[in-house]
Amino acid sequence: MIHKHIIFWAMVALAGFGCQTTSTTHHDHVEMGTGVAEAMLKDTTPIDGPSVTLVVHGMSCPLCSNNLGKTLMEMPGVEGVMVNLDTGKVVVTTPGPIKPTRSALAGAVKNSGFKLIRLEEAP
Amino acid sequence: MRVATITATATLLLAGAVAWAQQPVHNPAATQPGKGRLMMRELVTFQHYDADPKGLGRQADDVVLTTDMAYGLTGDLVFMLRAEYLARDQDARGGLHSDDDGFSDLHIMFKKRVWQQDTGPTDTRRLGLAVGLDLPTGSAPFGSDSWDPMLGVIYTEVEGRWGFNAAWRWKFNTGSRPNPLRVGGAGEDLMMTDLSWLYRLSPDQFTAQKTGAWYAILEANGFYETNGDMELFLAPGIMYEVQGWALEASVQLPAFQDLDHRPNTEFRKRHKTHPCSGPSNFGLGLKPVSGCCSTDVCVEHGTLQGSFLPEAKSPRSTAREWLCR
Repeated sequence: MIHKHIIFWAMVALAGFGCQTTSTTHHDHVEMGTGVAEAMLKDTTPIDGPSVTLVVHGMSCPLCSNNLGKTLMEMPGVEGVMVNLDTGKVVVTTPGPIKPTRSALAGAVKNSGFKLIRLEEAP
Repeated sequence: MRVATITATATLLLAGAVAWAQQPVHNPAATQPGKGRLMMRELVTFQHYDADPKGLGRQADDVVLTTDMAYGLTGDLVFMLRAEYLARDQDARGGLHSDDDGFSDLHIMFKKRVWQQDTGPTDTRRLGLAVGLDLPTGSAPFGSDSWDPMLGVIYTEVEGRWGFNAAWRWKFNTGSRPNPLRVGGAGEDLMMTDLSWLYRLSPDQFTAQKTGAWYAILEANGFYETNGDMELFLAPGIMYEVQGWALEASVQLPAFQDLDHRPNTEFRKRHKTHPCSGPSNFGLGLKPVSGCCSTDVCVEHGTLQGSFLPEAKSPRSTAREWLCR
């Protein structure tokens, strides 16, 4: 019986080694992003301009980004959301007089399970 | 020791779920809906058991309707629920026949993300803990009549075009009704170990306009029961995913089987479809706040071993016990 267990777990372990092939990048962005997100969560002033760009990390796939997109679209004043997964940029269009606050935008990113790196407002 | 014959499982999955983004067919992932988000999935499974090695000509068909729900309680805590309804049609040589239908046990689970490191726009590492419970809500012969807790650890990593998932789950069986045809049904504790890799075949780079993606998948799914039964499956597959839905297909091949307390699986085929066009697909009156619904259709074939063949009692009970022992 023991050798059967050894064979089974050896196969599982061998399969597990295959995952050790990835590299780590952008750690500086994470540290910076953490600070930005925490500050933004306390900023209750509304954004300026007709649009705002959120730079977000951790949206690993199209369905993941849909999670954030739907949350943003439910916010008052938001009329459009466009996501570029490659750059992590989420462009939020707010053409009307009602503008979301920075804390609300940061909260939407956090509650969707992602990391807000920075917020870029249109001039 | 009985070594199983080479078996195969074919799975075709059309999936649409934010909560299970980047999740392979069989391996759970440490992804989940955001706060206040509800995700539903409908699963219809057809199972067929035949190829009786004793030559008794016994066959059975199961139809299983499964409903999965995931609701984000916070940004890192999700509540999940699974309900199954089964209809079973059994035949055996000599004109034996029986029909049964009913609910199996309700399964609830909380999944908590305990660690997260987002290292790039699409790069992330996440670790989640899962605590679940099977409630004794099912009817005979599908219910367990027992409270069966479950603990698990789930890890997900995405780096560039590569993705990796690993899950380890342990189900404490406190007295379930023996059902050797299904893994974990023999009344013993069950350990489930899953590993999977994903590679984004296309596109090389996402853009705001190019949001659809093709992924190649390879899974390793291991099952070990405390009675010594164990199985290891390998499952290559492919997935297409856009923002609102996903299409996934895989073929599951058993690489290792050693089963002494339930029938070996000679061939198992599973088809799943997940139409995701909107709430009209649910049939349950629940609106998905994020993600969408899905429907799975599965077909399974099993080989019965002699040790599980019961003594003939009455024509009706014989077929039933054959499936439930």
